[in-house]
Amino acid sequence: MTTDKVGITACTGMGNALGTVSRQAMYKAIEILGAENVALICFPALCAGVEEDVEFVKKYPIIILDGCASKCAEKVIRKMGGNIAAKVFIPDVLKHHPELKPESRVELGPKGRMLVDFVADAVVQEAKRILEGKKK
Amino acid sequence: MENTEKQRVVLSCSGIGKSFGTVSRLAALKTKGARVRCLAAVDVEGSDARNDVKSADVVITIDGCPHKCAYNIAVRAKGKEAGIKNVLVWEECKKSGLKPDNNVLDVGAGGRKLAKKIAEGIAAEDVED
Repeated sequence: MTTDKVGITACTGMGNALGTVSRQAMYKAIEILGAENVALICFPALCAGVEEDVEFVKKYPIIILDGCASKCAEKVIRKMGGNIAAKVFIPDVLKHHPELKPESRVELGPKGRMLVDFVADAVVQEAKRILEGKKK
Repeated sequence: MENTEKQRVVLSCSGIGKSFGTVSRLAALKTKGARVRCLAAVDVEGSDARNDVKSADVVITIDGCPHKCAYNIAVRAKGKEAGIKNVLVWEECKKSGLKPDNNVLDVGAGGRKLAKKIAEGIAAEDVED
């Protein structure tokens, strides 16, 4: 399957700093990928049932970023019948780089910002794979 | 002794793609005297966050755009509008004259001051049902 668009969304993560990482990594990935083929999905709008966001997740493959074990983004997209094409779970990325623990939810600090780069890179790789139509 | 303190929960939209969404998030994280809950988790049936919203005396929602997603999700979770107060970031921006930079990652000094002002306002106010 090939697609001309992919959506990216991140949990609203307020409970820990990895929620902030997920949000910032999403913005960074979009910056790298460019806006032509990639769309930001406003997760709160999706939860609230805003039509344009709900339609998008049903129509296009979505990459989701979750910052904690509750995996709210995954649960909500599944509930809506969305097409989850890839999942990036921030605690898994942190496991590979345990030295990059962010400082706080408000200020990630230099290590947290490096973690953002790793997460964004994972998202970019997944987006490219999906846009090129490769199977995982 | 009976605990008469009101249980207050704060929910921000954390809206994506607009700096007012980032301000809403910062404001929630800076609010003292209330439990900050994750909006996405409130939308998950049976979650602790949803149960907290249901049982809270007062829920304060902070929204960054006219869709008012935080407010609407809180109403859906609680099953009623009573006991929910909505703070609108753009209204607070107009009132205070504090403007965030047009940058979702860094809302600048104006955005940080606006978030602090909103947080202090919420902490100071005794929101009635």
